[in-house]
Amino acid sequence: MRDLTPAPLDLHQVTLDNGLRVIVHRDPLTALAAVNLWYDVGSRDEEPGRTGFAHLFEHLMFQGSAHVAKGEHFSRLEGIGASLNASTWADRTNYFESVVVEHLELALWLEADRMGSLVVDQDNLDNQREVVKEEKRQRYDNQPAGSLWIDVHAALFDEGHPYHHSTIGSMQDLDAATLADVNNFHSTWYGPDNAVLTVVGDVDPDEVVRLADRYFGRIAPLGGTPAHPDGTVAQWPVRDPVRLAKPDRVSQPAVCAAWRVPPLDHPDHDAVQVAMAVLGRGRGSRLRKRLTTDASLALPSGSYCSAVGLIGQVSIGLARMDARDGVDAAQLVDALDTEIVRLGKQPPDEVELERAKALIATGWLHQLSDPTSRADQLSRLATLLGDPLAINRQLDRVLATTAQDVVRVAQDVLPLAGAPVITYLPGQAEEVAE
Amino acid sequence: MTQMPILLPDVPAPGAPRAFRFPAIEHGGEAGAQLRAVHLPGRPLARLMVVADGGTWTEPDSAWGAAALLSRAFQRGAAGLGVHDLAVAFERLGASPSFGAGTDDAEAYITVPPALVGDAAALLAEVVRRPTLAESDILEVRATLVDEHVTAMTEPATKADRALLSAVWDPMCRLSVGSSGTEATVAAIEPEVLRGFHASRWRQVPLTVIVVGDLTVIDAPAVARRFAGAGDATRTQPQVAASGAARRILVVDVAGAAQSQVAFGRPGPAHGHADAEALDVALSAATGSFSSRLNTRLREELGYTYGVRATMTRWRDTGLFSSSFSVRTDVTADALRETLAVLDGAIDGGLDDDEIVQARANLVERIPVGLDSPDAITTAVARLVVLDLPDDHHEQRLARLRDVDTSAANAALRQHVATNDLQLVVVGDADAIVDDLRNLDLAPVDVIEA
Repeated sequence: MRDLTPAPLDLHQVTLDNGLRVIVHRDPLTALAAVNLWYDVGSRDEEPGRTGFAHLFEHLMFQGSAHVAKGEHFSRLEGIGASLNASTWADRTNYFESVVVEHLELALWLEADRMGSLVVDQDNLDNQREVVKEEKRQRYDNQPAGSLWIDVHAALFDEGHPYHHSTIGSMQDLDAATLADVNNFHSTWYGPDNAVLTVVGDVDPDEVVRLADRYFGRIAPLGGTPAHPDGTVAQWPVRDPVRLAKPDRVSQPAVCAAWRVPPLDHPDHDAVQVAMAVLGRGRGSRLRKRLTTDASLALPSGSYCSAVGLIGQVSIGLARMDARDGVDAAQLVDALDTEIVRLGKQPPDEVELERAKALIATGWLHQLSDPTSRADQLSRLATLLGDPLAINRQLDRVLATTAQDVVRVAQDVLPLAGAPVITYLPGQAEEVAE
Repeated sequence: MTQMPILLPDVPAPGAPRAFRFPAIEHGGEAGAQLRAVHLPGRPLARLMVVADGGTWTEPDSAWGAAALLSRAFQRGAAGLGVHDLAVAFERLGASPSFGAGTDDAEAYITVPPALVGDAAALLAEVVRRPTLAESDILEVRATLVDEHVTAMTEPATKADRALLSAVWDPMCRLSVGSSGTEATVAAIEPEVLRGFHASRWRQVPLTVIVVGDLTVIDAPAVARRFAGAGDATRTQPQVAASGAARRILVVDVAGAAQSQVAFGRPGPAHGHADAEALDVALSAATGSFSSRLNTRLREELGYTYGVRATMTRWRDTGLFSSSFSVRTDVTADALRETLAVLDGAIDGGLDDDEIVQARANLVERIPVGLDSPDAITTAVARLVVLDLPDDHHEQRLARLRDVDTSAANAALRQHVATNDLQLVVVGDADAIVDDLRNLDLAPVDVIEA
């Protein structure tokens, strides 16, 4: 196999007195400064009855702070051409903007102001609550098979498990959020000692640290945050997994199988990634060959397998197959089952393994080639694994994965008997509770 | 003793500005394969793109969707390899090629480490110049594309976009259906027609090869030679025709929809129009940016929507102003009333200096931010090729943007964005919204089939 290992990154790391971890990667090849902040809080940390709150809170971080009026965060950054956004997931909330390098200081000032203060009133809260509800309708409730991730979380994890609910949460819980919840959330989770600040760009690392200290260094540390809830599961396979068929706005059946898989920091996580790639990543994968080349069972554009990198003792794997006209969902489930069983018996040959690893490696190079996503990966690895230098080792375990490793995880983790299967069938979607 | 403030109140001043320069473009190649190469040293990935004069304007009238169908047919076999083996051959390099067809051109591209660009080019050249295009493969991808159309039409945004195109353009104009055609037009494309389309747009014509990456590793001229061919391309003059309809509201009924999907638009100026930059600034201020009047009103003040999007698409021969948002069902009519009030307010009353300064700064500063990655630079070079623009187009555009003032922006808005012929589409629960829409008395309301 060709060597796809990227050159190691040389990082500058400092922890400020108040606990803010600052990571700088000097990159003379870009005209940008990518500023990225990860807060170590996500939907897994939400209180009962407040699902969706971490994401709602993310919206409120744009509503104003001590020296920044409502709307000003966006308008100031738009005024310098920044590309900016934020996102919330089970394990984190991140905020990021890429600016031309001469505007780095403004970006840091804006981020510091909302880390150290938040000015949200009832009108802001009510307004963004409605915006988030429209986001839920747009991305989930009004899309064909739009409830897929909500259903997957619920099917894989029992009620009370931190990953049982999806990040978007429920309309009822969004309605229940109060201004007191907002202020408590900020004072509980949003402090320098629960955050990682990464800057990637053609910058002087010492100057970035000086600026970080100037703007963030005065913010008092939280002095500790609540422990993340324990997500340990007894075993990877789900006992008596659901076989759920739901009417939906799909035109043809869409089948989704989901797995509990080893988390990001588990030695087998990368073996699962490779197994998933052999099975269902790309046109040359076994499943795609069975579904779209050997027969016309599924749409090429709607058939894939992948695993995500959650950190809380367990993670999630997913396969999706969209049926061709006239194909029954059971045929897709049979095809998936056949290929998983085969993977547990017939190791991938040299070409299959090379193909799977090359796809994963190039995907990783994509993450590294863009300053914005590289900054996000550095914050991610610092937050979830405690070591941004893990960025230089990300492919090691992937490339070391053997055919026997693939067979082992196919047998231990991927059998369909331990995976919920959800089928979306053409029909009227179930009404979503408001 | 004064307490040191926790947060510093003063907005930091920017550092010394750096002049923007689009990376130098090397010109080369030979007959049938023009080369444009951009050296980006040290980048871990490079992009190879091939551009053909094979966009939707060049499709036969009886074969709307042929360019999209060909994009899929490319992947069914070439170089003696069938669909699976061809996919594996590419994926062993770590990537799959992508194929796309727009209005003015068609493209194929792949992103791989620089050392693998030569191998990727060898395969890609076979695929685009000499694909198998077997009868059975064409029939298979044709059936697949028809199924994909049916599936895509379950998405509200796709349904709205499709209805908007057919409302804005005359039914005989190619623009009246999307770039992939429709189920009916695709189903009617015969294999022989597709093979003829390929021959005239990809096989017997010059192509442009774009290589962006570390050219100390990539032998760009050798890459271009892989795509060499003979022949001449002919460019036909497209027949642009708008529907000419007065303002109307078209409702696509989706019983029980969780919200309404709104899209609106009208024809706009073609690329190269003298008002282009002034119009961009005005539209950014009125509808296009997060801080625009319309997004501020609908999202940040009223909480009606997750956000408004707006685009001014410019092709070689015409343009399209379009905007969209999704909105709560019970305020759908109110959102349309607000939308027209904002647009009419901007057109009749004008945008103010602060809005223009903000929008102009956004567009000026966004140019270097948006042109930093190899992927973005490749796309930008392709656009220069397709639209016959000079290599310093982005510097020229930057200068023109800086010159836009409030007066010019408002004049461009008045000239190009009237609302009396605005076509408005709403995909939603007709029973729940039609009465309110009619009571608005803004325009005739018709419920149509998707």
